[in-house]
Amino acid sequence: MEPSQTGLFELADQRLKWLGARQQALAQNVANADTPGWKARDVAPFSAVLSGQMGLTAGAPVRTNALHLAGTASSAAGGHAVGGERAPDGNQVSLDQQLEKIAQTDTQHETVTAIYQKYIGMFRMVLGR
Amino acid sequence: MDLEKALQISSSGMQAQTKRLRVIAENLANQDTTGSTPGAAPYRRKTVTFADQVDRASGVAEVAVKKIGTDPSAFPQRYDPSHPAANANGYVSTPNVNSFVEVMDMREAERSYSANLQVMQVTRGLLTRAIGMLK
Repeated sequence: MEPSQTGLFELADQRLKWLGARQQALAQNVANADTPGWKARDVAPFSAVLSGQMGLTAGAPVRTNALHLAGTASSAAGGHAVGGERAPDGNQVSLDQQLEKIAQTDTQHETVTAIYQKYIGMFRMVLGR
Repeated sequence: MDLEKALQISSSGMQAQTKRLRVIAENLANQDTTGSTPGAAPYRRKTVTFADQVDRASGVAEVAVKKIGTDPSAFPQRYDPSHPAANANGYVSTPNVNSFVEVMDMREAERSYSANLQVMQVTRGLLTRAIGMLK
């Protein structure tokens, strides 16, 4: 089994890329927290990115019967504006909300790197290093 | 790389807030600056406006100070015939700077600055952790 062919590494790679893109979008929101007319942006949820890139096998549920209800998860990729209360100058950024999302990104990044290292450690153990 | 772009965006936000703070300092320092000849205009309050600006090299929306303008509101008048800038009726025009407004603006700039700084610290943490994956 080659490490690069393992699904987990590819998954971790995609998740880290997604987290990087999200961090960039959130940094833009915080930097523009006083710009008139700026609307807060966010990237598409990771499950949508996953179902778009890896087929429907991972993340999103599959409809195996015509009677199944379609999922409500949107599959739109790319940045989209999120609603929120609007300041008199048209700015829609709530700093608390953005910082909370940034904290989320931080935790998720930590989780992914921890899992990655643990997994790499298993390979090392097998190799006897 | 996205994380480096995020650092760049946060730094542009901090620069913009620093400029804003500079203008606030100018306003507060000049809140008693009147003219020196009869009927001369005093210091006029300056204002800052922000706009998002796309950096062509990296394609990210940074923030920048769009314009440092002036506040067109009227100058408050004060009766002081002995003042060198007093007009024929004995009134002196004083700057249209309200220190309460300036202090509130200063607090807002401080808050935005620290928010950007916090984002920068988190981004740095992400980068450090990503480098740590090499170990």
